Amino acid sequence: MSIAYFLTLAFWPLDLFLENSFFSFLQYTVPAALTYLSIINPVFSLVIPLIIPKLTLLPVLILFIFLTINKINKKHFAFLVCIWTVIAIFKFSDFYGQTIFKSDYEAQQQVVRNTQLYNNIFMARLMHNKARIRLDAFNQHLFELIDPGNYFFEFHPRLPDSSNQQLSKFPFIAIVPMLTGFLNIRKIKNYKTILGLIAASLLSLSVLKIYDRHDFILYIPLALIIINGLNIIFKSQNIYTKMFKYIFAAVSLIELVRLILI
Amino acid sequence: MNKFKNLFIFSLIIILATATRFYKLGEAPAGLYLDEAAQGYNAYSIWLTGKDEFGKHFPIVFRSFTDFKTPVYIYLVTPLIPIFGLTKFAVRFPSFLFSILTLPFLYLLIHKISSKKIAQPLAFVTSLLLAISPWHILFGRTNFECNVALFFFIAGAYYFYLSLEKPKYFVLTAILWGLAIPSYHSQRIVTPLMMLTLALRHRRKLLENKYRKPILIGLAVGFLISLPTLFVATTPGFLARASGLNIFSREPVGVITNTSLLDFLVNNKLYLNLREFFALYLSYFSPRNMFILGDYGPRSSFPYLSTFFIWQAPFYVWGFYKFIKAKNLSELKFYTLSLLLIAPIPAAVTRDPYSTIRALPLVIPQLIIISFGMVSVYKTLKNNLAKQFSLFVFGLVIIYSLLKIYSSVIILNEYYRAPWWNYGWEQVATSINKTDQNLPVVIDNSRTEPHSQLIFFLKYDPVAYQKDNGVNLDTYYTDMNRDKNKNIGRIQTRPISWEDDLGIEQIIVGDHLAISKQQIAEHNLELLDEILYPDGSVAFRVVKTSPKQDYNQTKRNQAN
Repeated sequence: MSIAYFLTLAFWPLDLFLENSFFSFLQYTVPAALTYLSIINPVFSLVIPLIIPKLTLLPVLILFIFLTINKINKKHFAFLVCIWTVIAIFKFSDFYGQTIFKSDYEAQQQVVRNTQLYNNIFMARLMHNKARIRLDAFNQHLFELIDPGNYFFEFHPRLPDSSNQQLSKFPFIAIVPMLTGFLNIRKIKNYKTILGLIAASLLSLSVLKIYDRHDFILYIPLALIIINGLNIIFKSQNIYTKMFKYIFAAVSLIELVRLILI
Repeated sequence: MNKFKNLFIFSLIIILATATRFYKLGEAPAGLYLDEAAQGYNAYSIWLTGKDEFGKHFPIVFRSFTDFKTPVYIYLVTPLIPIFGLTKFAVRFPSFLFSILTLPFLYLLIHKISSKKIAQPLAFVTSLLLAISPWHILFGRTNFECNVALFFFIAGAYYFYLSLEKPKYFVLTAILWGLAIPSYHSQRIVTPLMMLTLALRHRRKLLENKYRKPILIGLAVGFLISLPTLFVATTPGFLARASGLNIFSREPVGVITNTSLLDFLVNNKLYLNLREFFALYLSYFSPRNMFILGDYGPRSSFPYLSTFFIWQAPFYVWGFYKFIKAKNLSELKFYTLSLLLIAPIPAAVTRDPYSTIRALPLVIPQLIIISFGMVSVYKTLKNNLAKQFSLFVFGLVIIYSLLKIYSSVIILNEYYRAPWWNYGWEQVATSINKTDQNLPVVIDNSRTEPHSQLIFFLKYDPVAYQKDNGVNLDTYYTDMNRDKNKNIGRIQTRPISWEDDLGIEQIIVGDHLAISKQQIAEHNLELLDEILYPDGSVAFRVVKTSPKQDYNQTKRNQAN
C-alpha cells in the first residue's frame, strides 16, 4: 500500500524539482503547501499573494468557498476578506499584468476582422466581441486544467505543447484510482473542503495568462483523491483488484524510471 | 393526445435537424474535397458503365487514390446520378439523408432500453441534441461515409433489442449490422465488438429454442452480406488504411536514448505503443477536446465551433457522475457504457489525436450522458415556475446554438477553410472550357491531385477516362503503386516543367506558388483567369504560353 502511495505521489514534485532550480522549486511548492494548510486555518492562504502575486485571487476564492460550505463563520470571513483586500491593493498591478484581463491587441484585431464577415451587425456582435476574448481565454485554461490528459500523459505524446514544461504529474495508470476516488468522493472526510480547494485553484489559475507550474497548487487535493481511489480498490479483495495491484506497481515503476532517465 | 403531442415535438426536432443539414447542402462548403469528387465520379462511372474509374466492374472496395474507399457510400450515390446529376448536392445527399434517418432510430432505441420514468424525456433531449450537434451536422452536410455507417449501426441496435421480444427481427438486425461493417472502416471494429458484447449480455435469451431459426437465418444473411468483403479481406488494398494509420506499425513515441542497461524496460515497443494508445483513447473523453478544441483537422471541424457546445460541459460532468451512480437504468446503462468504451478504440489505434470521423459512434453515448445530466437537473427542480424558467432558458440556449452553427458553418468555414475544401476547381473547369479547345492543357499537381475534381466538374466521359488511365485489373486490390499523372483528353495533370512547357503553345493551370506574378512577367505568359478564394487570396491562375514572344523575350534578356 505504502509503495503504491509513494509511486503515485512521487511524480509531480520530483519532475518539478528535476526541471527547475531549487529556488523555483520552492516558489511553486510553498503556495501548494499553504493552500493545503488553509484547510487547518484559512489565514495561511493570505500569505500566498505575498509570495506569488499571480495567485492573488486564490485566497479570496478559498474564503468564499469555505463560507459557502460553513467552514468559517461570517465574521471570520469578513475579517479575512478585509486583510485580503489590503494585500490585493498592494499587489494589484503585479497581479493584473499577468492575467487574461489585460487587453490583447492581436485578439482584438481578430475580433474586428471577424465582425466584418457578417452582413448582420447583431449577429457579428453576438459571435465576436471583446468580452469573448477573456471568456475564451478563461475557458481554454479551465478546460486544459480539467483535461485528464494533462495529468496522465502530458496532454498528448505526439503533440507537445511548447507553452509549458509538461511535467509528468501522475503515472498514467493512476487514472483508475483517480476516477474511483472522484466517483466515491463522499468517502473522504473533508470532501467538500477538498472539492472547494480544487474549484478555487482552478478558477484562480484560469484567469492567468500563463499558469504553467503554478498548477502545482492542485497537487495535494488531487493526490488525496487518488489515494482515496487506491484505498477503495485495495480494500476489495477480488481477483481483478489483486491483478491491478501488480500492474499498478509495475507500470508506475517503469514510468518513474523513465521520468528519472529523461 | 399525448401521442399527438409527442409526435409534434419529434416532428419539430426532425425539422430542426433537416434545417441545419439541408440549408445550402451542396453549396457550403463551396469547395469539393478530392475524396468527395472521387466518390461522386466513381458513382457516375458505375451508373454509366458499370465500372469504376479504372474500369473495374462493381468493385468491393474502390481503389481511388490507392486508399481503397469503402463501397456502400458510392453505391448509394449511384442511383442519385440520374436524379440530381453529377453535382455536389448529389454527392452529399446520402450523408444528409442518413443523418436525418438516424434520429428516429436513436429515439426508438433510447425509448426501448430506458426505464419508463426517464424514457420519454431522455429520448427527446438526446434526439434534440443530436439534431443540433456540430459533430453530427458536419458529417451530415459533407460526403463522409461514417454517418451512413452510424445509421446502420444504430438502426441495427434498435432491431436487436426488438428481436429480444420478437425473434423475427433478428434477420433485420443482421442485415443492418452487416451493412454497417463495409460502410466505414472504423465500423469493422465497433460493430463486431458491440455485437459480441450484446450477445454475451443476452446469451441466455438468445440460446432459447425460439431464437435458433432466426439467429441461423440472420447469421447466414450477415455472412452473405459480408462475403464480398471477406473475399478481399487479406489483400493489401483492403488492409491499406489499417496498416498505414495504426500506431503499432510505427516507431513508438517517447524513446529515451542512452539507456543501454534499462532499454528493454523503458523503451519496450509494446509498452510505448500501449502507452500511446491509452493517451489517444483518453483524449476522446477529454472535456478540453470535446468542448473547446474539437477535431484539429480543418475539414472535420468548423471554425470557432467544437464537437459539443460549451454549455453542455457541466451536464456532461454531472451526467457522467449521476449515470455511474444510478442503479435503476437497466439496459440503458449497459448499452451506453459499452458503446462509450468501445467507440473510441478504432480511432485510438490511429495516430491522429481526437479524430472525430473515426470515432463518430461516440457521439451517441456522450450525448446520452449529457442529456441524462440535463434531465436529472430538471428533475431536481421542485416548483413549476423554476421548471418553466429553465425551459425558457433552454430555448434561448438552443436558439443561440443554432446561430452559432450558422455562423461557423455558413460564414466562417467558407472564409477560413476554403483551401482545405479544395475550393476553386469548379471555376478552373469552367475556365478551361472557355479556352481554345485545340490547345493542350497542363494542370500542375505538385501539391495536390486534382484529377478527381476535374473529371467531376467536366463530367468527363468515363469510358474515355478508363481507356487512358486504367490499371491492370488482375492486381486491382494488390498493386499499391499509384500514378499521380493523369490524361483527361487534352488535359494532363502533372508537375509543370517550365523549360519544356514554355516551348509549346498551351494552357497552364497552377496555384499561386506554381504560377507567380513574377513568372507571368518573366515568361511573358498571358493571364486568362485568376480564381480567388473567398478571402481574396489567389487560389489558381490560368495562363497561356506564348512560345514565340517568350523566345524573343529570352533573347532580349540575354542581350541585356
